[in-house]
Amino acid sequence: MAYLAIDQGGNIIEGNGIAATESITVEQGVKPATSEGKLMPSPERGLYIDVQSTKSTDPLTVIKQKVFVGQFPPVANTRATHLFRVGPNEITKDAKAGTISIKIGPTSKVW
Amino acid sequence: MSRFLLCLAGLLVSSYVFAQTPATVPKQGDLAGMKLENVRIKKQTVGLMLSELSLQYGVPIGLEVAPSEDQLGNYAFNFKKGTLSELLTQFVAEHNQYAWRINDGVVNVFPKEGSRDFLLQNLLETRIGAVQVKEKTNCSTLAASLMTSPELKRVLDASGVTYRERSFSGFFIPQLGRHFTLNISDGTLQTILNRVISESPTAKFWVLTRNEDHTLFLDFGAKHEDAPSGIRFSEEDLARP
Repeated sequence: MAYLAIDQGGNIIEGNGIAATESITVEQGVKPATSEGKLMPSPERGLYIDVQSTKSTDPLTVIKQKVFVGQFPPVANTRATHLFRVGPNEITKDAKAGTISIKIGPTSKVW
Repeated sequence: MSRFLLCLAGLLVSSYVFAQTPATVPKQGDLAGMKLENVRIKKQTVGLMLSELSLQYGVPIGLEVAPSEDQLGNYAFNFKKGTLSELLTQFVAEHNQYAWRINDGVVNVFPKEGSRDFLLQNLLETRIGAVQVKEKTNCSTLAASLMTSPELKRVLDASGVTYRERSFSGFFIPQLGRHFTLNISDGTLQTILNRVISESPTAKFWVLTRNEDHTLFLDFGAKHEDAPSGIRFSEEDLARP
């Protein structure tokens, strides 16, 4: 999945204190390695890419993911001034069938 | 810039850009006395909880998971103010199967004597002849390389347990550092892991876990190399309904 932060004019925001993270809850199966809670700074051209993978030997795994995109002021130890959330997204990794399906949840402004 | 909107597109792509930021590791004496304030972390596994502590505060932590540990549960730190030593003492009081010790500037959390998993203990104490980490190595490559080394493979084969890599979810593949290199001619698995997380600018956590299906995981926790210091999503922010 790819996530883009855009301003009111529809322009993609690159840099400018934008950062993303995710939170994961395992409903069934094996906890994946995650970037949970780790800050992903604004990538080149502002395009965040969320990678989902499964191992061929993994059992059927269902995870609920929330993606958070925030804008931070240039001051250390301060909270995001604006925070958006996408999810919960339901991600089903079926290694036997060779599929990963993603049902995207709603996008909402937390503040 | 004031407000922004979020847009998402259904693309499947896999390219990343990384850069280097320095990391500082507190000295051994400083580490135990490191001041912490308002540590609030809630996770599904003990590994994730300690990984979060490690990456948020830059504390190198290695964890040998206890055999009695639940695979998925509710684990939390709720620590108002004090030192790292006090936090860890509180942790082992609440999770009395564990003990902690600082070795070479790394906090090692492990099951108390008598309740350790013999295989995990044996693996951590096994000496590996030579380990070389080249630039641009990612964490899972190093973990796989260590666990398939002849010395560790011999131990695993004898016990009928295999190493398994985890699947992945997230915005970046954890790296050891774009310019991070390491050469160790002889050391136990534990000393090698401790050296990696004490010297890597990004990876600050390792965890060794045994699973019920005769497999085990070796994972690292690493921050993004470009992640600016001093900003983070607070636990309260992420938990808001």
